[in-house]
Amino acid sequence: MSGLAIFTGIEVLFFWLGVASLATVQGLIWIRWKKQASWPSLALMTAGMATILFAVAWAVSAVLEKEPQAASMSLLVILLPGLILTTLGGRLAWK
Amino acid sequence: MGVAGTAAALASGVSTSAQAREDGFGTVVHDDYPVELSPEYKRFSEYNTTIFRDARKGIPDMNPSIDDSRPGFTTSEFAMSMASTTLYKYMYTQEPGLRLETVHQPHDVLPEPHKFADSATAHAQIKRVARHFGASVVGITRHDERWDYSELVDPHDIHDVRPWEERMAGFKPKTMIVIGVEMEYEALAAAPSLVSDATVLNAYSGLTYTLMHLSNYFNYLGYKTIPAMSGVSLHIPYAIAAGLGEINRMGLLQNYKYGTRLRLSTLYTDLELDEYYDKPVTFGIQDFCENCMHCADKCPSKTIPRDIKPTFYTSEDTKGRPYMSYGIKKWQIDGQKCHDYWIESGTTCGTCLATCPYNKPDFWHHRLIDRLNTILPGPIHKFMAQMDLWHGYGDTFDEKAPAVFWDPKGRSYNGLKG
Repeated sequence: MSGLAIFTGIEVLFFWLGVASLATVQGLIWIRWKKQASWPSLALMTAGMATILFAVAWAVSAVLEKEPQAASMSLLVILLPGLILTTLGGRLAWK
Repeated sequence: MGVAGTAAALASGVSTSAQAREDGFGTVVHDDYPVELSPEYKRFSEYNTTIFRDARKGIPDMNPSIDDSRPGFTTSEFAMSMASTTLYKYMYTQEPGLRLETVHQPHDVLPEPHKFADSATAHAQIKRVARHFGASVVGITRHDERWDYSELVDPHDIHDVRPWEERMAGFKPKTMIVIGVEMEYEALAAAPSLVSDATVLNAYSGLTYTLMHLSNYFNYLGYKTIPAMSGVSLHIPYAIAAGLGEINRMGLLQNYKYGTRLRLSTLYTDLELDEYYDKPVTFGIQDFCENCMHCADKCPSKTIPRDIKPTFYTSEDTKGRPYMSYGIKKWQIDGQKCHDYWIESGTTCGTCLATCPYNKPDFWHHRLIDRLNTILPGPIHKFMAQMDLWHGYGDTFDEKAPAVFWDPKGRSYNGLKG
């Protein structure tokens, strides 16, 4: 239950993941276009953002199934590497 | 997987004790029966099952008790658990021919038994009917007398033991319909308690409902049936033959979708098909069980062995333990220890079912991991099993679990909020 009455939590989650994925793709295109980011940096950022989105999907799903420890662990095990990859890619792009 | 993942991999000792998969890669369909049998294998007698052996000593099958100070053992939970037995207990009280585990005769409606257009149509329609009547999973396979008990006990007179063929005289089964009914995740997570018992027993009542209706479907088509709820046959070997899953460390069926959270029954019928399409499948469960051990570690009665590989027990091994079958290569479970704990704990336990990493609610990320596990090699299975515990799954004896089951938050009982 999402609290929105007509959608389940999973439906709301995947709607917003879709929005976030679109924003990510637009952001990467913008970085390539405006900042002339190198392809390796874009590859790193793409991998990092995909990992972050996956971690968010996992963590919210874990909360929905009432397993909060799984949500915390997913942030530690999946989100953290995603942040590292995105940061590395960002630093390369802005060098 | 980052620092935590590396630490988990090191902690689980993957390089020293992990086992590799032998049956293939991914989901493998087998033409032959995938569990090895020795020439020594003999049909098992229902008379020797732990439940009937204990019944002859005056020990009940269950020993539920009320303790309002313990979550999972309150009066309401006791009542829910007992009420869950309603349908199947009622169906055992009927006259032979109407009750479970007796031969049901065809109804006098058709001049001759209905012929399906072909075997494919028969498979499709029988499975759809089973689903219509509430089966979570269903498979169809040939009758194989190796998996019938050699002798059957009359549930109304436990000293009345007769050969299978005598008890079911006049009936030659040809086809087996194997059905499974899901148990509820949140209730099973409260194992061992009366809440987890309730979902186990409710699944048996669900099986009874499905079996009796499916049995009647065949009777209207002009065929004889035996709705075998928990006796008459060994359901797990039939379920394996019907492609419903693999045998696991607990000696139970591991289904691809429901994992351990499934109860099984069989329906015998004399409908014969030209072809049987359901084949046994393996998807890495044996390999996973070799690397996991959660059920063996958490089992309070130490019923489940910690042997790495499945083994054959010989008649010599089981001489003092006639309640154990021999000649099948599997992990050998000591059913007497298990039932002793049922009586001691006042529950039907179920900690092994609850702690298994394949016992998960129906969420996308668990389906993803289950599918990955079919292609991942042994060392990763050990890592996956460890990560499952670190993610907080597989808790047993969890006094907070009944509260999750009862929590009204997020549940809409009147249908107004989804």
